[in-house]
Amino acid sequence: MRRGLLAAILICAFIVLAAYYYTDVTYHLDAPRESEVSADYNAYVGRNVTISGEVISTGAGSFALKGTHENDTYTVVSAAEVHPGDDVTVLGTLGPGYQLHAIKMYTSSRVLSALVYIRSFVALIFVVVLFFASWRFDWHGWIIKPRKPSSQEQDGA
Amino acid sequence: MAHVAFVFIVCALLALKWPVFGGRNTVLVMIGALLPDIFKLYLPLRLIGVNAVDVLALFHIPVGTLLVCGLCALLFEEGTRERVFLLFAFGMVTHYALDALLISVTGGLVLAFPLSWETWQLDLVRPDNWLGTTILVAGAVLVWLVLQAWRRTGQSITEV
Repeated sequence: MRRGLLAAILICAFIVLAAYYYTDVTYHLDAPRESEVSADYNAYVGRNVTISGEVISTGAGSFALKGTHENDTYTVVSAAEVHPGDDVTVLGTLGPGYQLHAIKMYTSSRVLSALVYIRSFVALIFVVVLFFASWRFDWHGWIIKPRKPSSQEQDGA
Repeated sequence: MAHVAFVFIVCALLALKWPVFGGRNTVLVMIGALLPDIFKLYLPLRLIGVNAVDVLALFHIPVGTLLVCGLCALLFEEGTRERVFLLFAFGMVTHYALDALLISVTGGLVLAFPLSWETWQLDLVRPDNWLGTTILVAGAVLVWLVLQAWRRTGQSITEV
């Protein structure tokens, strides 16, 4: 009973905080993101924004970046070396006509980005296996218990 | 993977003085270190056209992760929950300590939400960095091998 009540309180607190974050995050961003820019492009012209996406073509001193969320294509003015397919996040000043003058940029090749997720997945599997090697879920009481009692418990401590 | 390897090394060292960090409790600290990354569920959701970054963001903010640590600790036996919660929370702290080192263009970690929307980042390591992860994993394997050898030696001495 007490456990259920505590769980309900924690879930409610999480939902309230998540809702507060979701509704207010837009007002606290140093640099608005693609979703905010797409909603009202002209309001953000001349301001610093952050756009993430995939490089779809490169040119002299610029490259075309397709946004991750809204699929808008931006021309990023930057001398940095990028390749089609790279994942790029750009902090830059938004100009008219979907032009972005890069101030700071983070580039990662598609392969490296994918490998980061693959290694995270491998780590997750490893931890799950390790967990169930020493702990078990008791479906009867909805409780996680050790597979073997500790040496202290065996000693009756 | 870097988080798990880092936790293993830290717990192995701490367990030398405080046994509570060793044995089956190490994996609880590892889980605590992975809890903030529940946030990354936004990636598979993006594949089906759902932008859930802001909805899931609280998982990757300390106050949200602490609430999840509390919820997860409630799944354990009464009497052990406080200890499990503290082990999860310790894992969480190691996660944010490592994440604070990463380079970020989008601002960084919102560590003090809901008190402050300020973001923090040290901008030292690339998120797709392989060298750091490889060093941590190699270090964890080395620590594990040393512990195995040490235990075996300790046992043979006891047996004699």
